[in-house]
Amino acid sequence: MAPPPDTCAFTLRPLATLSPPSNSRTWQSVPHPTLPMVATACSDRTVRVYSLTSFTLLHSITGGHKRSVRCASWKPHTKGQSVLATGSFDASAGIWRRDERAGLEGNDADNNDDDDDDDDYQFSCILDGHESEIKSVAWSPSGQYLATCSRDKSVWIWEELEDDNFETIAVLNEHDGDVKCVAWHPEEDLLASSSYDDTVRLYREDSDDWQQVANIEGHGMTVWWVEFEGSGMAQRDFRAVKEGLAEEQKKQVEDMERSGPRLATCSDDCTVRIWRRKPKENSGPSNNAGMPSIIRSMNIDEEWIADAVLPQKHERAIYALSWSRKTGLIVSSGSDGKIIVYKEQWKNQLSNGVPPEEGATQDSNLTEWVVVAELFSSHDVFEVNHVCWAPRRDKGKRSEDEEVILSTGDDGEVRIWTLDEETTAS
Amino acid sequence: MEIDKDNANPTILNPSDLPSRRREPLAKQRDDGGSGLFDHLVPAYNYLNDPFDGPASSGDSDDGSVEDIDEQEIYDLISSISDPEHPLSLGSLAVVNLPDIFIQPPTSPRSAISTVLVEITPTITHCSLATVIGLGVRVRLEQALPPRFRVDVRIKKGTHSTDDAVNKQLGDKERVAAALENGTLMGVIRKMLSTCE
Amino acid sequence: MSDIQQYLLDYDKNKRGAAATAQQTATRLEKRELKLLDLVQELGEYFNSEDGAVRSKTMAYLAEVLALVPQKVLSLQQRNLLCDFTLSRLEDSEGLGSCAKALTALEERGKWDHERVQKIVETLLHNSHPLRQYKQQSERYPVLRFIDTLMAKYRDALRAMHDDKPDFLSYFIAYFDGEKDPRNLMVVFSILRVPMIEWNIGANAQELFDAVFNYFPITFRPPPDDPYGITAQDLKDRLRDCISSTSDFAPYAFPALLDKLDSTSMNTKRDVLQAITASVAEYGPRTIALYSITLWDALKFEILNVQEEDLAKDALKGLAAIAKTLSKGTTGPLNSYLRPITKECNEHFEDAPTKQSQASARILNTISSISAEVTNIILAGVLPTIFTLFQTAETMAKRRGLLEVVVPLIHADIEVFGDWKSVGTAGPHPAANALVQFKDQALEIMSNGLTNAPPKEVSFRLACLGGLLQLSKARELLSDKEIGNIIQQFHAIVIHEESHGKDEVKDAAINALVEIAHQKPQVVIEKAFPAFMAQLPDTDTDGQTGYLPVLEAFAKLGGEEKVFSTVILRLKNKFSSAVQQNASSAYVVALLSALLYALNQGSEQLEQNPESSSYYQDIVLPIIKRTSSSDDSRPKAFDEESTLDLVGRICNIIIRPLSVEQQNQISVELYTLFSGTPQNELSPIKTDAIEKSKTMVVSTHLLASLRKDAILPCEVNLLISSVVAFSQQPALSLPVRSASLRQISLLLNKFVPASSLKTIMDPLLNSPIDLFNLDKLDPFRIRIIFACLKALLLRNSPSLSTLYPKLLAFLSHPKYGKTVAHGFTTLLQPDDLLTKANHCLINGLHKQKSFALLVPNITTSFREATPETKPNYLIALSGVLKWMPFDIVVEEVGLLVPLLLQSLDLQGEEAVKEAAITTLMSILGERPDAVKEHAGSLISRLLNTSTVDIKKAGEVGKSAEGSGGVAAPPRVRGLALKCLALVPEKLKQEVVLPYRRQVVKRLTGALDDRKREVRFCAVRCRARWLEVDEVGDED
Repeated sequence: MAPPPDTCAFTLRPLATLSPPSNSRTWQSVPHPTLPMVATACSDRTVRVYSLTSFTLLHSITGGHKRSVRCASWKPHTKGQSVLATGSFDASAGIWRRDERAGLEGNDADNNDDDDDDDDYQFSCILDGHESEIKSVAWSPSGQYLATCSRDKSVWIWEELEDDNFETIAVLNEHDGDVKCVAWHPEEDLLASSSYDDTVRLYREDSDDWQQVANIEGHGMTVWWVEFEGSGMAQRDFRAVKEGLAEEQKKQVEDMERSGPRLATCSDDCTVRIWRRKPKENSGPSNNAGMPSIIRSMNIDEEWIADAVLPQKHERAIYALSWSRKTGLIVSSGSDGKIIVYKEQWKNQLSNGVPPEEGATQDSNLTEWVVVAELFSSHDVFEVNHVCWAPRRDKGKRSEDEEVILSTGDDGEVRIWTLDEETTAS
Repeated sequence: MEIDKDNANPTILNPSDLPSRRREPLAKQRDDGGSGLFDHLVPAYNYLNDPFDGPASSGDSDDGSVEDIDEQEIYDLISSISDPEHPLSLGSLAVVNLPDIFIQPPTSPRSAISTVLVEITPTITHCSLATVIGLGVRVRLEQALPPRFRVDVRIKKGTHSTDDAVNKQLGDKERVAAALENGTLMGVIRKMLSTCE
Repeated sequence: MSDIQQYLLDYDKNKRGAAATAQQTATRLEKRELKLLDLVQELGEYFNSEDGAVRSKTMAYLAEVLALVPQKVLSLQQRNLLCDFTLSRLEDSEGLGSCAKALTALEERGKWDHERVQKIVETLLHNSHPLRQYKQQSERYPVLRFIDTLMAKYRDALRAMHDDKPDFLSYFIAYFDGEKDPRNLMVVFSILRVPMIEWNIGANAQELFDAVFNYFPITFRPPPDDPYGITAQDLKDRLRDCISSTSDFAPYAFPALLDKLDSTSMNTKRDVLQAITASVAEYGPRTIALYSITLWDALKFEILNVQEEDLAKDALKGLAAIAKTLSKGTTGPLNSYLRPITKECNEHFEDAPTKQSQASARILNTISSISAEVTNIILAGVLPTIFTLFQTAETMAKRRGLLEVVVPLIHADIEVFGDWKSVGTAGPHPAANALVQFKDQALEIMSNGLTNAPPKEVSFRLACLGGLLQLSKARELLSDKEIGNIIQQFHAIVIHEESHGKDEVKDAAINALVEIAHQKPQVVIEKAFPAFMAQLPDTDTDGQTGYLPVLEAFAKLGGEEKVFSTVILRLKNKFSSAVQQNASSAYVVALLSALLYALNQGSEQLEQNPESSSYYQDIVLPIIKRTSSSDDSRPKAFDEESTLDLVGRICNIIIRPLSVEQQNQISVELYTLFSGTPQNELSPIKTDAIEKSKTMVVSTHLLASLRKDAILPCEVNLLISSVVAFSQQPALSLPVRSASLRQISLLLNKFVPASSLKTIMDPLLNSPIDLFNLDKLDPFRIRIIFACLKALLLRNSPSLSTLYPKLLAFLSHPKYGKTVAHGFTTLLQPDDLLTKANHCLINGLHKQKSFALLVPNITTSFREATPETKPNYLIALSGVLKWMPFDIVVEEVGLLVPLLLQSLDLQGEEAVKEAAITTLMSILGERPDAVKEHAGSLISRLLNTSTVDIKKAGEVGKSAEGSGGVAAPPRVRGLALKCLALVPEKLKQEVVLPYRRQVVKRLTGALDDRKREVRFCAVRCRARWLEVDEVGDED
């Protein structure tokens, strides 16, 4: 079932393994929004912060959690300090702070490794409330909200009033199974959550009351990961090339613009799926701006439709995917240890890439996703729990916006891969 | 006193009937049909072997031959797990059975990953402990098998009222991982595995 | 100051002083310096003191004095007077204890009559109630002791009180009501037990029962420094004795106990069950008959749904006790007790095999071994049902389950009625055995089962086989013909059946034959032997090899003394005819092996009556002749040293118990082997024909079998020098060389008296041979050196202290250092020729001595040694330690551990590693602290030794660079893992915890080992380490 390699346009080449690796399973690695470092959530109850320039350990954040640290998220737009939220199997979320003014270490991390004890991360507050393991945490793009979700089937939204004073502003109990992942819309205060109950749900605030606005069904099994497309991708991905587009293609681009960023999900059912919001009649590309709030929106429900099912390369559960903000490429990884990279392109009319999926509005769709890289045993024989794009920050970087892929495995290792153009014609 | 048990009076298989490898070293079918009774007539340390010609290699030297992990080996790993509510082994209760163990070789030459599927048969269809038993089996195998194996534990079709739910739980890596960090639950599992050797 | 004043003064702060004063008073009384009356009068004022304390102290004074005066001092009426006086004091609320003491003292000084005793008791019971009056145990204790004494000495008096006054007993009981102190309770229980057992308590039964049962279940944890050493068990026992003391309690005891049986506390249940068993035993058949069924209904639960195994056992005891008691009475009650039991068990059998069917079987066994009567009733009660169930059973599993019930029942039956060899518990002339009317059916079922069931039904067939065995053993149950048929079935399995699975059935069949042979040797010989023989061809020229299993089984039979000689005889004959018809060497060897095996098993018999056995003539001589002869009476198999070794061993085992006289006939032929060649032509050992030299192997065994005082073919020194010369011929085959070397050891150990040892050794140590000469050193001489040393160290010769150092010096030898090093393992290696049985000198302390002379020396020289030669010392060390009992090694663990760890780094020295690891394991077991500070390097080295994975090797083991690159053989890998598994068991959590994660991770490599055996060890090891868990993360 593995395709002849020459159809893949890229190869993944190992760049580095962050060292020293953990002695036990690592769950997730999240790159810092601005600084060249990555935080890795480990089952040994710690978070390890590595440098993306030297690939070495900068900090080991310990002592906060009584069980596995499952997930982490950097707060965006923090001045002079780094703020990290962690979620743990001990049912609590932690907020950690570190003053970054003392010489932005990212730039010269190498000679900064040693003094991490004096300027270490401080455990600044703990968010209690969930009844069981927290599985995912996510800051809203503005940094105003923090979303957490748990095996207790609930999604919580916290708002930080002032430093370290968090208020629960919503507890959403829509799912009837573990909530595996939460993600924020890049432009709107729109929250998505995916669950053990095979569904994905969307929430937004309606006159200071958060409500479910959509329930996306389609996956056959647990939905492990949910992630929105970057903002304004039309300028960056295949849509960037405007000339020579057929009418219907132009129309579709327009359509997509009006839908706004799409949603990608992956699941135990071994598929990666893309969902698109059905544009509301006479409402702008993004309807959060316009509406005067006095008028109660008669209907805030949204309809999200199946946009694509990516070619199925995984043989076991897909645990994570990442949608590049720079190139629009999607990368996925999972239990089978593979890392797959997908690219969206216009269908050439002769061959229509993906066979129409059940019920999905495939036919109308003029684009297709193709596999551009497939890597086996990326972590030896181990499962890969998480994969994501990050800007390349080491000396060897080839262009300003070159990206690398970070993969995080059961073997306790975080590996970094470069995406190299194949010379062979596809 | 024990009425609260799901099945106070389960059927018990006799150890001799449980599938097993022939006892080593007699395992190797001797061409002479003997049992090797006379092999030890001459004591292991007798004057006939002479230590001066290098250390006497007592027959077990590493012939490159590889003994692959097979269904029987998997069975031996899990059949000795004891049932959480009876002081009996899952093997003797026929909760795990050799024919219900399947090893899948790697699906592609480029992959090194094999899968082990174990279908367990709860002693009765509504056995509330099915999940715990399944968890025990999965934990045992994850601890005892090399990481190139993916372990799938399922309730055998039609032997359990809520098998789908249980299967989904047992298949959820995250839940299993969390369970292993839950002291109380691990206590139970430990007790079950304590009879494994 | 008067004595009493003095006494009162000292009483609290100076007990000794007070005692002295009392003594003084006593003496004065004795010396008549003081009149009793004066004394009493003097006390008068203090007795009338306002201060209660003073009054009680005064009483204490009086009591103490009385206890001290010699018997004769007080006249009868004086005693009576004092007695009345003391009794009068009872009205006082103070000093009761002392009153009791005084009374005790008085009683000791002269027996009382009934009236007085009764008066005393009356007054006591009326004027005092210790518990209400006194918090202090010490005040009450004397009273209880006093009453106990009265109970002991004046039973009739007290009993009379009970008989005359209907209400006496109740306030007697009430008197002790509420006692809590364990020491006092012991007394109370013993007091109350008397009326329980001896008095007619009808009306007061319940009262009396409650008085003790209130304390049930008694729990008491004695204080750490308990002066009286009373244990909870003592109390439990006395209480139980009370409860079980009289059948009058039955109506109260059983309901009360059964009620407590529902308790959730295992301890309570345990007490209850034991109390029930005790009561059942005591109450007697008539009473138990009333409760037997109730008890059954309660007790069965403990067995049918086991909670705690020992509770089930106690419950079984109880049920058995009931049967036992009832079988003392009439049949009626016994029957009505057993009927519901058999009925319920039969019901459980219907869905056998289940937990409860097994439990039921347990119940029936335990009960039925009680008596002939019980056995018969039960057999009659269940066997018919079981047989019908069996016929209608649809699954094999069920049939097996049912048989597993029957077989133990037969076994129990044998316990009662005995087997062919011994009478059972029912004595020589028991009632008719009910088993008789079921034997045919049982036989039929089991025989069919065994022969007709498919071989994969192992457990079922095992059950059948076991049953048949039991039947054949049961005393006077089966006819020899029937037993014969069973035997036939068994040997049919042994001989004809295809091997299957673990061959459990085959093994069982063989062992069964052996057992029957013990019971009915003749039948076995008549039935089985011909069958076996028929399977053993005289020759195997037709190339068939099916004989081996048969031969094995037959040889095993030799283990049973009754048939031993016959087995030997038949094997011998087979051997001769095989040789005559020149059968293949394989067959000849097989027969010899069988013969040797049988002889080994019967060796004790040979030891006991060597003279009587004709084996020397029948076996030894002919076979030796064959070895030395040149015609075709000498099978070609005898060209193999290994065959000759078998021959040698056969001869050895027969010859070694013989008298010197007989042995001398052989010793002269030691090398000539009755070949007719005169001794003097071999000088004494011909060093020419290597072909012939093979018989040296036989000679060695013969030499080994000789007693010290047997006459050698020539002077011992001559013999030694020739053997030494012989052993150095380059052309010798390895076995022949080793054989000759063994002869050197044997000669030096057995045939050289301590006196002449020095002279005999001289030519070896100095010219001509000059063994320890560094320049002459070569492999042959090294072998000789170790051969000599082995002989000497076993007899703890003083020469060792000079010889060992010389040997150790060789370890640094550039060329032969390593060879020497490898030799060390031979020194203490167990040896099957140099043994006490072979009349060798074995000093009990030889290992200690060698250890003391070698090990410290090695460890020190190791430090000085050059890097090139260091390994030699490690090899030598492990060679020595390998055979050293740990209690000797333990002396030096501190020194040894570092060296042992370094041995694990040696390349290609697998035997050494193995030895090192074994020693490390025992150190871990016995002296974990010695390893503690080396934990890190131990763990990393073990990991490197156990994992084949070159990539990972050295990752953890900084100290063990490069090692682990070459994979150790599976056995060593496995051993390393076993050792690694010990680490977390033996070392403290905090020591191992830091390594947990890395070990657990590294071990995944071993989980994928090529060899199953190693993987097995890895799994166990990893499990151990996984259990080492980060602590206390639970809320």
